[in-house]
Amino acid sequence: MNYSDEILMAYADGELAEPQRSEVEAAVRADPALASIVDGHRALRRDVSAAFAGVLDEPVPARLQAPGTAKVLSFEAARSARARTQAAAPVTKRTWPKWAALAATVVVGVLAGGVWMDAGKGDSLVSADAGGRMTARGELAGALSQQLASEASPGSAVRIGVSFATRDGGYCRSFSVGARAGLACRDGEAWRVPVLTETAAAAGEYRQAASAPQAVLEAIDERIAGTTLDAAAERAARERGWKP
Amino acid sequence: MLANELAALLPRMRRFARSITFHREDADDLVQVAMERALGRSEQYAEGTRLDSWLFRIIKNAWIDEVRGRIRRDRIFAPEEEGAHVGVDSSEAQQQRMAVHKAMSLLSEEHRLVIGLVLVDGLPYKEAAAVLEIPMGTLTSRLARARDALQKLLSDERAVP
Repeated sequence: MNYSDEILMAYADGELAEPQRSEVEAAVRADPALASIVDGHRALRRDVSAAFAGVLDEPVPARLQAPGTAKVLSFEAARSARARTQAAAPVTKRTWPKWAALAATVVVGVLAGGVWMDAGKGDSLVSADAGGRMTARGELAGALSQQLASEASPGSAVRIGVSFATRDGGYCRSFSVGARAGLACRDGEAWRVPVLTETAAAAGEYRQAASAPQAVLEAIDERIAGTTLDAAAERAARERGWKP
Repeated sequence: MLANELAALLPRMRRFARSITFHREDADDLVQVAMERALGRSEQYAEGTRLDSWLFRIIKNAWIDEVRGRIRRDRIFAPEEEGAHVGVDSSEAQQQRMAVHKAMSLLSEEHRLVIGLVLVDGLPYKEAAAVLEIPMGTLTSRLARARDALQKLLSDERAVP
């Protein structure tokens, strides 16, 4: 099967929706030429992103700061410094409470069931069956299968928090998408979402809402066997398709 | 508190501005103009929509209709300024960064904007299309062409050390 460069680019950027994403993924796995094109797109993205990343760490000149905003700016600086530290160090279980303390967000509710719509984007990230059990779909499902917590995915709206093996031998991963955060556990070919929370984050701070709300922390503690996966173990689990 | 929310976006605005203007002072001028415009017309911001997209659109428009005309073209690529990062990173990473900055400066305006939004800032296609006020299909083809052009400039750069 031939795919246009635009399709391969969109795939590399995590912009394809299912079922096309899975189709392209299969084709890319089967064809080294396609894989090399996808790698090229990702490498360019990485290089360009890295070339300007340093700007985020520069102090913001006083002339740009509106009155009364210093607190927010120092929060932002602290966040980016923290993100760098986390990117450099293997993620451990104890990093979560630090995130929770850092983010100025408030959990306003735990969504227990029903079809939950992302009002900002108008598309659904989870579906729910008659019993109220939620399953990840679309971009969220793709990110849960593909993204690594140990690797930045600048093109994705989904942030993976931690990945871990469960006491019954499966895998779960915590995630956040905008102001939502939750836990997803692999079940066959699907990602079940036992807990999904919505936090009240200021508009425009969607990328910063990476805290793990209490409900998610508790869901992790209930299920985790040992500690969270390190980068190598996480990658290996992904290679196995998150099968036990 | 729109002012606080805008302030929280300052680092990303500065980064985006840097990717389209190259010069620190010009980039900050652009951000300042955009901040003033945003605060001056905050009533135009629709609650519930993405503030970052709205702000990037203001930056883009400020760049096209005001700031672009002010900058001196000979300042477009300022290697001495890039030297500020030397010592923090390996020289190879530094070279790579400079090569990207230089290649970006040689792109067309249209291509630079789309690269700045999608590859530098990491906006989803849909949001980038909204910022540029173009349909998704146009965004995708423009982005593909911009990447081609950038890749080619970078390959040429590597071929001539």
